[in-house]
Amino acid sequence: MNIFKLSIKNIFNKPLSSSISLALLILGVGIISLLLQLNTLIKDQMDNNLRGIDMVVGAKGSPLQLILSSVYHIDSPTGNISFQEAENISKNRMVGSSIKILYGDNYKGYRIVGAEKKFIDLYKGVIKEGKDWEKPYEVLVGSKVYEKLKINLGDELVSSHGLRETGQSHDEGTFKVVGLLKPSNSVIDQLIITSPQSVWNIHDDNDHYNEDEHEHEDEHEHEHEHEHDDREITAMLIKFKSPMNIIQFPRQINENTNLQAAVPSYEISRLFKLFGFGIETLSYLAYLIIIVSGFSLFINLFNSMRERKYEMALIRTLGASRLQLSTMIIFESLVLTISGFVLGLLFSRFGVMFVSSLMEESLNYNLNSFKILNDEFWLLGLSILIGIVSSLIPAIQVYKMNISKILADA
Amino acid sequence: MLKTKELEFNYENQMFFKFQNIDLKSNENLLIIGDSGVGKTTLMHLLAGLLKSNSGSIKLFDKELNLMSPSQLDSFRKNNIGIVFQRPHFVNSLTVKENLQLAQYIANKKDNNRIEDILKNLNIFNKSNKKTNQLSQGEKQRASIALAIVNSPKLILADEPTSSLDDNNCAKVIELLKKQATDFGAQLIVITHDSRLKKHFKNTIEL
Repeated sequence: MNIFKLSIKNIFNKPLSSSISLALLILGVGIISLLLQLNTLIKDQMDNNLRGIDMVVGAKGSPLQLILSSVYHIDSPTGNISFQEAENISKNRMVGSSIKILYGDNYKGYRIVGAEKKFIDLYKGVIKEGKDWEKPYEVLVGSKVYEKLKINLGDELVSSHGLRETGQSHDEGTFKVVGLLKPSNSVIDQLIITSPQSVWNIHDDNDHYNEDEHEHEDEHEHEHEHEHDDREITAMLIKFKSPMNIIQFPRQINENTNLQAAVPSYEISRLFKLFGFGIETLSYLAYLIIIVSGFSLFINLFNSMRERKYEMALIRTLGASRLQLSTMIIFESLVLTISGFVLGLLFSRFGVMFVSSLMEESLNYNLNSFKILNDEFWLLGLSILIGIVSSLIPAIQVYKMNISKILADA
Repeated sequence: MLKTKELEFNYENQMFFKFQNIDLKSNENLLIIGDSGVGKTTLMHLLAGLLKSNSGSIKLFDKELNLMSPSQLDSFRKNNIGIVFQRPHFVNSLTVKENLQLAQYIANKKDNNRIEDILKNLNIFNKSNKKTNQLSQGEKQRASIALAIVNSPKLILADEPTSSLDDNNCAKVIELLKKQATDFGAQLIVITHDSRLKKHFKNTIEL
């Protein structure tokens, strides 16, 4: 038996009043930690997918939509742009490297992206099994896609038109899985990637039912003259030669062409500012809950101290010092606040898992991390502070207690 | 062993007590008897070092209590004095055994065998692991005696230990206290208004 054990026994002796303060603290700490975790995880995930992309060129529309669709693959594209125009931009002297990507189809809700091979290198994708595509209709499959849909090497995937599962299915759009990618913790995990030619072929075939596969005789109703002009892409990801170009070049494109240029880092920080306001409001609320939990803890200790004054006096007559008794009160408070902190973190981790499973269902995104953030250490400090402050007055009263008077009143 | 001289105490609300001198030899028990309002509890608290007198001297085991600091009194008390209260007090969140362990911890001791011996001697060993509020009145009284003697005090102070008991139980409790004191080598001072106890003591002081 010692003072610390006694504190714990005292807490368990009053489960109801202890658990109210505890529950409030868990809620407060949990909400703040959940917000911190989600904020960091989403930001990390977004930054992770942003590396190597300074600018995105696509069809006119919302710049945020362009970024969300072609960098994060979570929104519909703004439209298509002509291959030729994109090609012209990629030849600009300010462009360091460019990757053309195009959409068209999906397989059971997972997007099939036609892209140049550089696309996979951009995300440091590595083939785990199989090989790279060589011919049209050969695809590489991202790790989350084959895990979820149990796709194996050599499987044939019949795609549906559009980006949603419900699209009309192409009878001819049968892709062959030639390679599986290692998990890269980036967007390519949730994509099916193929050559641009595959996507063009499918849609050409679809439009011109009788045409040959490889020949682009292309007798479209509107354009007869050019051979390649009617090919379209969805967007082009660009890395500049110098970071300085980020100021000038997008404006040039937006003003002088009918294409749209969007800067991902700028759009994403705009997005964060937008829902940052909500996060801030919610965290103020959570801090308020923590303060209320401090008050409840104080009232709790104050009452229990009055109820237990005879037993405190007894402990003193047994020879315990004033300081030992005050320490016991502070311990009781700290045990509650620290376990509130620990349980709050646990609560937030479950929250992250829950949100992650929601996001995975709707966006094919997942977030998982159990590391402790620096801001959470700060929360630990706050919990300890609340524990000390709310027990200070009861502890001082116990320190100044007149045992003779209490015992004489008994 | 105990020698008091010209002991005086006054509370802030003007209540004033002047106590007669006490001189108790080693190996003797003492009954202090007096009506309500003559300062029995005050005297007991003075003897236990819970209060400090305004003037006079208390010499207990050759130590002058009035010269000690509060923390010295705490430490003197835990090493020398066991107190049996009129109404038994316990730490309610602990079992009987844990209460005794806590008392030992405070006195920097640890001896489960002694706890066992005492509880067996008081016939409440089978209640060791019960919370104190699950005990009957009589069991509580015996448990509070156990708490008073667990640290082998040289002096047991008992405040009105029999006031709420019938004649039969009164005799039992006082004999039990005397037996515990003898068994564990302590002296007993009982402070009470209960005149039934007179016949159990050779030395009696009337306040």
